Amino acid sequence: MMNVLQNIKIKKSIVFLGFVLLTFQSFANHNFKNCSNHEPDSFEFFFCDLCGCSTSSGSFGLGTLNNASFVGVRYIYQTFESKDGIFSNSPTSTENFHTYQLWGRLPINEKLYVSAILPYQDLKRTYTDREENINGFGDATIMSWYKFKFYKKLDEEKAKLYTNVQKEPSGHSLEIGLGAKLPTGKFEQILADRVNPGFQLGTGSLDGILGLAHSYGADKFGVNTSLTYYFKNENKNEYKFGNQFSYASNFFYAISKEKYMLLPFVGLSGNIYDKIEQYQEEIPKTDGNVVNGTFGAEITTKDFIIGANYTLPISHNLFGGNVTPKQSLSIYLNFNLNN
Amino acid sequence: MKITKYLIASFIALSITACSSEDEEIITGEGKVTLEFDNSYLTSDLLLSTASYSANESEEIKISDVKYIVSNIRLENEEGEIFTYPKEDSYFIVSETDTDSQFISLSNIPAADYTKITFGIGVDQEKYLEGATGQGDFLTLAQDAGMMWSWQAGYKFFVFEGLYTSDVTTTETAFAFHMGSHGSSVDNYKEVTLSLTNSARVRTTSTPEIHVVADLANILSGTTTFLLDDAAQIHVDAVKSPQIATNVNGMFVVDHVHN
Repeated sequence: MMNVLQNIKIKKSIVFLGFVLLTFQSFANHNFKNCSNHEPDSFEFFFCDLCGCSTSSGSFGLGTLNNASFVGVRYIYQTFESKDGIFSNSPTSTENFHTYQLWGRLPINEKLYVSAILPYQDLKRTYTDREENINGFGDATIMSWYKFKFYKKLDEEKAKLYTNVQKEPSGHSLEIGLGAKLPTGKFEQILADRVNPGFQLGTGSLDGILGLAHSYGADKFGVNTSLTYYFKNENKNEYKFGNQFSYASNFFYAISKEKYMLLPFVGLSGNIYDKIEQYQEEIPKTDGNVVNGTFGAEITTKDFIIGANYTLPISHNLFGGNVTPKQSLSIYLNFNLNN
Repeated sequence: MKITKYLIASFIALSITACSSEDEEIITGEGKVTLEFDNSYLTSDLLLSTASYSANESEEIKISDVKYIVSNIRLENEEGEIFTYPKEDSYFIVSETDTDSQFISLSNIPAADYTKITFGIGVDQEKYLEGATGQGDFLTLAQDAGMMWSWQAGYKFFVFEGLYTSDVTTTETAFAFHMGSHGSSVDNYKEVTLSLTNSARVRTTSTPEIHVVADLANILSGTTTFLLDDAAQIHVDAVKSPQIATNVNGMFVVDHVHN
């Protein structure tokens, strides 16, 4: 028994170490040495950061809000239409963002766990007469989460009759997260001068993330809600992405089968961005907000979680209306490390 | 698990200490500035001849030519200090048909953070009174571009031509507004000062670009409203020319500055 337990611990440690090493590796690739001035910049909640991922938000998956530890991969596809110019009749460019993420979560004890994401970005932009493509590591995110569990009031009658009455979970849990987004993705000033400032591998800054997540699960359904705030810092180009507030709420229904559980869900999410600043001056037409509708499903088995969701903007006003978010799609596969 | 905790802690600590703050930069030397003049009609990029634009009342216009003289450029920094570009090099002709002419490159600008720009439309009396020889190469440039009536009559500061129709004028009819000073009798030279949306940071190593948009809709619908049916051709006019000059001055806005 001890051996088995130790094996699990070793397995977890290896996975986590791998994350850390990979993150450092990408740091090295992206001139970490140049970071001698100010650096930090922006981030995003559970998995999306403004760069190459400016308008989506999400969670670690519905079935994963329990104390599970996992490692997984996720693919996110997003499309945007941006004005290539400052006029109402300027041509538009179409942007296709492909993001591949390695992500994982590791409990430290009953109440505390750590999550990490390392993205690889492949961003494409098609103009009427030319194409642009950038790819490479994006900004890695690392967060620690503290979980509060809530219990139902003790039945006093029962407590009198029996000596060992267990506290009954209320189904509610609340998590508070604190983390950082690391400048592992490359930031290029020349790209910042275009209409969609989100066309970047990274923000080039070290940013702070504050997260709050609530989940409620009954027998057949549940609701997960998350609020995240990104404190963005200046990068070495004295460029500072606007602070960002993200919110997401998903309602899911649980269909239990013998070997797996199917969780279809619908949800609302959104992002509110402050103006970008450079040289301590606000840049006009760089704030905005977007509200999205999402639907998807997740399948949870003993060993893995597979999920997919589709997101469509309901209302938006990004960068002075010059950037139009289109649909986005996300699929993920997580391996349960608890077994 | 302890090892993991230490790893995370050291990782975060390292990331934070990697970036320390920078000392206040000392700005010296000279750099360049690019001034871009981009013509529009309301919110649309101006298209010559092909696009039909609504002007006043039932009038529809197709614009075939837009040219103006930009001169006497001055930049003001955040301390309120003004840098005047050398006068002899400070006369330019911007033409909608010549893309190169829409980018004015200024060199030997003292490095600073500039927050305002001032320029004139046309040629000031001081310059004009230097006589034909005092104009240098600019005289030939203006003649070649059709920006002069004659030496005695002077420079055309602004040229705006095209075709229009209206409920009254149903066949396409030519219009032309040519505005300038009339010798030394009427002075229509006017200057415009614009605040920059964000500061233009001139450095030896960085050339900011100030993107100015000129909205030509302001010519017919500016401070003064002009109906082409009233006067489709305005050249030398002691009353209307100054009004056009005011409308021209009001058409400029700084859209953004790239650093």
